[in-house]
Amino acid sequence: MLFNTPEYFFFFSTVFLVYLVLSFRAQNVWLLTASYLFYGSWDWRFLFLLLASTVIDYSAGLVIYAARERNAARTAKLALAWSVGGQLAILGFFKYFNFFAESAAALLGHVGLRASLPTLNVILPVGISFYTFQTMSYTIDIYRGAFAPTRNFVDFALSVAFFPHLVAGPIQRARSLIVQIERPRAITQEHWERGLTLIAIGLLRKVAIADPAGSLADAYFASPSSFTSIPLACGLVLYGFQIYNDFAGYSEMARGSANLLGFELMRNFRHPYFARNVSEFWSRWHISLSTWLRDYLYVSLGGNRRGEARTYANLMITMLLGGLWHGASWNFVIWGGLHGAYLCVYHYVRRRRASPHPDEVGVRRPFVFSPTVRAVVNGAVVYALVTFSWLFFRAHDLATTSAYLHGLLALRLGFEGAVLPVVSLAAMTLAIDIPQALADNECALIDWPPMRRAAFVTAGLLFILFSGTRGHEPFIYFQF
Amino acid sequence: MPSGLIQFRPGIFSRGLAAIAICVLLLEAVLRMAPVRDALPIRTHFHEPGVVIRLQTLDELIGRVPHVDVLFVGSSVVRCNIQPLLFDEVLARRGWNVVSFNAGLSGLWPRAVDLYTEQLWLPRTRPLVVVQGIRFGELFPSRRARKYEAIITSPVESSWQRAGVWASIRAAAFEHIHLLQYQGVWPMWLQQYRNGRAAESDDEEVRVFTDARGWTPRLRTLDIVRSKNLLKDEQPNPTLDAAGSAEDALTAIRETARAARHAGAAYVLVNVPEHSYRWSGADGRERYAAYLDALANLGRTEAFPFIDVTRGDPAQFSNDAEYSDYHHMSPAGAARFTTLLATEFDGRLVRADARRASHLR
Repeated sequence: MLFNTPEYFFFFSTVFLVYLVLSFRAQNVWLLTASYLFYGSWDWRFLFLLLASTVIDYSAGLVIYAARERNAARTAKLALAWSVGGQLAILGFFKYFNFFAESAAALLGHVGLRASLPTLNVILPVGISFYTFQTMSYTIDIYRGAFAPTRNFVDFALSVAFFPHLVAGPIQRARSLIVQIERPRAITQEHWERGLTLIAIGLLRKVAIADPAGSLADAYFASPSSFTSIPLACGLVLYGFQIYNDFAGYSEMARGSANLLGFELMRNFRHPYFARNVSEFWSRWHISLSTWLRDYLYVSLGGNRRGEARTYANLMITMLLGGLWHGASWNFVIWGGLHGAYLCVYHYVRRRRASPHPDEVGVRRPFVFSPTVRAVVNGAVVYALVTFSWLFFRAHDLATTSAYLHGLLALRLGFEGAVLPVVSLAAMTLAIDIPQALADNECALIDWPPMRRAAFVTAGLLFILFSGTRGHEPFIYFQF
Repeated sequence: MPSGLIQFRPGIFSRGLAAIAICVLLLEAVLRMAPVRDALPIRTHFHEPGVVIRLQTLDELIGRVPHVDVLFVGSSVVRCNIQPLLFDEVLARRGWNVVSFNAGLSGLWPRAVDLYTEQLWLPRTRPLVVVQGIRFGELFPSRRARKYEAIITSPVESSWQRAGVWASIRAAAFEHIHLLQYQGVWPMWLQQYRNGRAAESDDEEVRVFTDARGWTPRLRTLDIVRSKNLLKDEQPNPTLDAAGSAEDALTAIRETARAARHAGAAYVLVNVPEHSYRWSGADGRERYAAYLDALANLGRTEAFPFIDVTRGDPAQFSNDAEYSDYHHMSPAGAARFTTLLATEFDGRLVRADARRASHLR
């Protein structure tokens, strides 16, 4: 059940209307039931996996907390290992088993050993990467003493399965969601306004920008060798629009749905293409994942506290695993590695500037640009680097990646690229992003004068109606 | 009672909704203006642009004349091979005051023709006579025939197959609200510029000319495509038995005839002659006769007239200059066929329905 379908509209309306008349405790039971129905609509068998994941971390949370209370560090550690190991085992089995088996067989083949390792014929359960990461954050936080576990199983199960964020995030920290689940919620006027606005903006992003951009980009990735450099560059830019608007649109619809139920989910995007350096990009792109990786992986590895070389190593490990989180493919590993390299270079340059070499102290730079020019140039460079990296994210295999890269760098010029669609879709993306960025508020239009707001909403509605296709494209991040 | 606070101030929402409603109504009004509609891409609420083009043409025609007397239905062989203006002119010379309209649609076979005739053309035109054109290949579902399933999943057409209030409301909304009639034009417009400059539409209907009565001419190209060997896969028509079962198509024709009568119109089935190549070979005449007999028998059992302007002789239409391919005619071929049809029709009008015929005088 996709957010951009009439089925979801009817599902949500039913859930919402019943929710309004229930008492607080009954609301939680109702939301949990609805969430399981929502998840089961993909494949009811996945429900058992979701339940297993929930039970593992619910029990682990209680054991870790009890162990901490009586200073039984070893028991706490074992319970944490049970939780993290259990989640990673589920993820590894369903998502990465075939990848590692095939990669190992290929590696053995390269050294002359023929190995026929077994592979599994299993489908990837929807949202598995999201909910396993979320539940891991729950037990790790309890282990770190940041949070006391909930004893109510329904509350915990709801925090895992809450349907607006179940299949593609945001990867909500358990502690922030459970707090909201445990207390009676208020649906304020602001919730209504923000909820409806976020759903509308998300739908506009998905239907009017992401899907058309995707269908255009698909042609370039389907046969990259048929195109010259400019069309292939257009293909990358279009994919950049697609993935941003698709995932940001999904996240906004998820947050809007949660708002209408009186919940707040964390913001997942903050105009990432306006970033002026790669580090800033990662503080604006898929924020719930990047902060998860920072808090639970990068920091656990030692972060930047163990010297410069170790910092770079930690950055690379974090980004490589972050890439692998997206999918079991070497392309994602390369994508993560590329971003890791960007970050290392950025941090190296920044450190050099913060503490220049003694010979450079007092030397005047020949050119000093104004801050605005610098910001624009930096922004353009970051945008180009990020857009280039999408090649590895979008191409399904190394052969396509290689063909695309070859065509792109061959610099065969020809102006037969989709320049007008690129400009049109960029204008639409900016028409949404600029007002949001200027007001630092995703729902800036709520504060606009009524007629201006009505004109914007009508234009958005027109694009949604004029875009609507008879089939509904799934969200890209559902596959992760 | 819910323990949480539910705060809802309808005033704020109603003002916002009123402002949006005003904008939407303005937009709907603008979309109904002819210059705006002409500047926009063709509407997409029906399965294919051909339907929309003919509906627009029909609406303009109905604005000028009191009613449509003769309605031609069928596939692209009707759409290209029958010229309603010429048909009317020939009959006018014989004293009949007739207004005809060509509602032929590309790629349809009898089941789909029946669907559109019953659900769309008959209620809109209320004609006195329905003329269905057919060729041999349409009696058998072919690769070229538009998939019936695809048609009935389109926004309006889907409601014709599904009973129920919701389906009717949905179809009515698509038929009457112009804002809903442009689904998909934004991505299509973007796709048009995928190679840097505006590409020609993939849809033939949008590229070709359609006259004020629904006729779409095709160029005389048979000699050229033949010389370029582009029709090498086109074979002569087989025998009726060898081609497969025609029962489904014949049933659909029966249903169209019944629907026409139910709507108060006379029904006529017409053989649209293909190029004589289709009936070439040693037993060509026999194959042709068997095909015509099948249609004539159907006419006899269902009590409707069947017209064959070739009078059983496939060689009547053997001039390459009269064809675009082996079944679509050039304007010259369409003119000859239409004239022959109108001449045959003259007598049939009198015999088939004297009351209606007198009405047309």
